[in-house]
Amino acid sequence: MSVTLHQMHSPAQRIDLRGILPAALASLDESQVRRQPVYAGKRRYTLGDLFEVRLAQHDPEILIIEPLDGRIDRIGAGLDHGHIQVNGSAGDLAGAGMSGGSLRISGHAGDHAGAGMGGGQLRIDGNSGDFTAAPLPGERRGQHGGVLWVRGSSGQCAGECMRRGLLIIEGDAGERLGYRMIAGTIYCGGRAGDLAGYGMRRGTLLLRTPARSLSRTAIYNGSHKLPFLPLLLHELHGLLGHTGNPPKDVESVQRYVGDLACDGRGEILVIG
Amino acid sequence: MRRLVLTIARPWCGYPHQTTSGHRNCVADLTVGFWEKFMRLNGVTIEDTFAEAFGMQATRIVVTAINDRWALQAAETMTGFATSVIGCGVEAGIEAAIDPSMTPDGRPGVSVLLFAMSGKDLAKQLERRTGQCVLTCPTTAVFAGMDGDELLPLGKNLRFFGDGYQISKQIGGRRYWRVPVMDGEFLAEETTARCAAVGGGNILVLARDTAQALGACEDAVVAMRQLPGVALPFPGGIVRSGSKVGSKYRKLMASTNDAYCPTLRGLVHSQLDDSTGSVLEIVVNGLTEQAVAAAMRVGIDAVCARGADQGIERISAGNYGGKLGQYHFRLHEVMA
Repeated sequence: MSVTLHQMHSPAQRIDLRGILPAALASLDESQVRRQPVYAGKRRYTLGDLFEVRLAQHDPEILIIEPLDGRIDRIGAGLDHGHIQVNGSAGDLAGAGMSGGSLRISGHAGDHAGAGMGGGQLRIDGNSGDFTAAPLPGERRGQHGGVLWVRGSSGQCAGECMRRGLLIIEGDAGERLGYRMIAGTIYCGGRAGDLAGYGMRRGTLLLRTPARSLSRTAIYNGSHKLPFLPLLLHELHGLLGHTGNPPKDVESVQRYVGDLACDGRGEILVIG
Repeated sequence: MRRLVLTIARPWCGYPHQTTSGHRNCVADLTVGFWEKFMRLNGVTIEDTFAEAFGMQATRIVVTAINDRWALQAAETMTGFATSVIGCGVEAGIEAAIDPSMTPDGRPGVSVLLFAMSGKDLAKQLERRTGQCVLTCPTTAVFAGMDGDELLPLGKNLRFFGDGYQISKQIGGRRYWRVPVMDGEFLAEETTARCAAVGGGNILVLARDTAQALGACEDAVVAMRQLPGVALPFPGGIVRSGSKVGSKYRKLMASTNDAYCPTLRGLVHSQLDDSTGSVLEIVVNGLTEQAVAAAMRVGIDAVCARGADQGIERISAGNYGGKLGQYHFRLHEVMA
């Protein structure tokens, strides 16, 4: 069953859509869906108060959200299966803590998109805010599984404390990309901001072009042909299609290792 | 005596036509009688006997390298001294060369099959051979060649060679280990799968002399190696020292197959005619029973293509009376 939530009203406070997931709505009829509680600030609403609800019985488990603006937070937070399509922009914490399923946002996403996600696929067709794939507040690790794909650019500290999984930023990345990264893989197709890989312990930053600056404790390691790179590029091409970003055949990469102020086993690979 | 005529599509077959179904130049006789049961292809008698094969555990890995030469070098080194589980712990062979477009890292590759009597033996040999023969070989990488639920460590423990500098990388749901080595990095997939398999399919080629037997077996090996899912573990795919179970020496598990040794004719209960001067065996292990049967079939076809005119007298098969192996490949059924 697919459920479409078309936003009709925009309260003064931001809407918190936690718990509104395809699986939770699948067994409900239209009136029950309308009665599902949502909060805006500390004020309690029902879905019916804020959204026009449409149900289609024959579709698979899909939740379609049509926001008026980017002020709906926690869309797809905790998603474990099913698909959520956001036709517009999402607020903060989109896909936070998701462990499966897929979430696609046709517009932009706010801060903390994919925070602490452990699985599934999150695709943002626009830009994402700060702390993409970073830890949830109070947590110690950021993304630890799945694929987070930002077609545009991202703000600062994307991939902070990332532990596993793949973060793709097709555009530019803000300061401190891969900040305190523990492991995993980040690809940046544009230009990364200052201090890329700052404080990273392990993991891989694959950069299409050199970052604005690296930490002084990231040291040049040489030009290398790395046998794992074709596999990674193949996966990226499988996701991104033949956009030329990244290039299909990469002879060798410039490799930096660091951050030596931490564990120092991370790597920053620069293609161009 | 009951006489049956089987017709088998063999375009090369020059045996006199006794067809009942219209095939013009292909025919085989199957004569079933109390004292005489035989099939002939191109003048070569195919005995009414069976190859006795055993259940084994098998795995496939893919070795890639900078070019064909080094991929093959690693695979040949890995499959060396892997002719028989009795003495080597594992039976292994090269399955096929793989085009770069089909390998995980886009480089030339070779697929290798390994067979052992248990999953534990297989794991031990796989790790040892990968560590000593592939890890050491310049430019190589190693990948799983099959999927399944039962997994064997491939790079899982070899990674410790990296002394703490090894890097784990999960790509496309699979885990790889990058181990720093002196030519760069050795890339190994963490695990590969194993499956139940069949080992010990075989044919015996009886000829007038060794050159004739060897030539026919070489043709057969070339044909059999075209098939997927099989490996011929012996040198060049051919064995000259077929064995029987047991020995007069108590400590030996196996000894020479005296019934097929031409120089023992007259001394033992020989299976050889007076004119037979040489016997060679082709042993085939396969991932499935069907793969082994198909390989035996194309092998026999290739041998028989030489025909009686080139000294090939008989095709037989090795067995232990049917009491040890769970798979019996009857030659007549294989060729039917």
